[in-house]
Amino acid sequence: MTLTDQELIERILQGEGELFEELMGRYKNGVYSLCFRMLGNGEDAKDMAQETFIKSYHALGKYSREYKFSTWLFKIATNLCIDEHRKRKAKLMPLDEQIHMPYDTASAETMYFHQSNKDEIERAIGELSQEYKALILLYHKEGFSYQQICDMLQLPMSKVKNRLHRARHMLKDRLKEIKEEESKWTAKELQI
Amino acid sequence: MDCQRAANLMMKYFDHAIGDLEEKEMTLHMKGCSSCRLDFQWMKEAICSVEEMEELEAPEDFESMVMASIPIDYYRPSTQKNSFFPYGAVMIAMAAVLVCGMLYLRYATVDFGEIHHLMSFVFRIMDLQGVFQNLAALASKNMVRLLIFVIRCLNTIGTVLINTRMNVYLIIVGTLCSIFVGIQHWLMRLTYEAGYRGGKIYEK
Repeated sequence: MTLTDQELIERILQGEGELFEELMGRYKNGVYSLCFRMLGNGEDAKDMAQETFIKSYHALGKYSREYKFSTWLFKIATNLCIDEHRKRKAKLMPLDEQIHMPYDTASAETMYFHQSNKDEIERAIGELSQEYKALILLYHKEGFSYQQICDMLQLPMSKVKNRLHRARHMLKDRLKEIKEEESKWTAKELQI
Repeated sequence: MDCQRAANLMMKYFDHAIGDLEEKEMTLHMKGCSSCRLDFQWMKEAICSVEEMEELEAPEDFESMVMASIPIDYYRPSTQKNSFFPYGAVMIAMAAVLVCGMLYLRYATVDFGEIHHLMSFVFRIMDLQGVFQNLAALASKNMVRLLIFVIRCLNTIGTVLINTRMNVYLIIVGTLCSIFVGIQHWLMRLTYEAGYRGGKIYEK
């Protein structure tokens, strides 16, 4: 029988620490994905996701059952990523440049298929600021409600709504720019 | 409808909070306004792309590395942080109860009537003095083993008491006994030194 998150937490708090592995298994990909998209590289994402789980294990006694465990966990992950980004002030390379290095050697056909929508949106998200990125990912990717995001980021509802609306506009504009740039570039390459 | 209202309705649309009537209103506006229509199409593409983004897989050694970094027994009762306080308090309370009992046997001065006799009888039956003498004899033979045995016994008793929440009652009883003995000691000193107790004068 599969135990619910709450049951697992109860048992961990009673001393069955090894059950934390099961709880982690349920959310590790979600937390890792969020950290990856927030920080922009795999190594930092792995460190932050691990830090999230270690921190949550030690703070499990303080976890309030009025929230879903996932909300609480993603709150820790988001705050850690924002803090980390502030600390490092890293110059993040756009995501597609890290995964797919320049296409100089590729043919026009492969270029066309590789330049999929997926890469463009990852790039557009990567270029948003941390606060906007967090809102877009939490609302549209992870499916949290406005109220849950308010609890996570400790912001008033009006601020969350305004920022999310602004983030959507920024994402749309950036995606549009990237697509226009790429279509110009592809046309140029094809002419050559 | 103006473009500002259309933009607000667009946001409601992406919040999944738009009514049927509002949606129709927005669609009607976009049919005649190419700027809003393009905005909507771009935004829809952006948001749909975010929603369809794949969930990335955490590295293979992810779980094992986390599990190696956390203390598995962090929440086990016997290894709880700051475990000295509950254990220490229980031990002190147990010692207080024992000392009070022995003192009471030795210096019982408060007249409890039949209860006093009953308590005295119980302690005599237990023959605490004999038990301690035997323990002392054992200790002289095998000090280390006895010490380990005593620590284990105290640990077990402490754990059982804490797990059954009896430690609280024991601490209360221990505290009351200590207060009682303190008062009694003060009365005895008053009696022997000043010859005064309970409104009557006694000879030293």
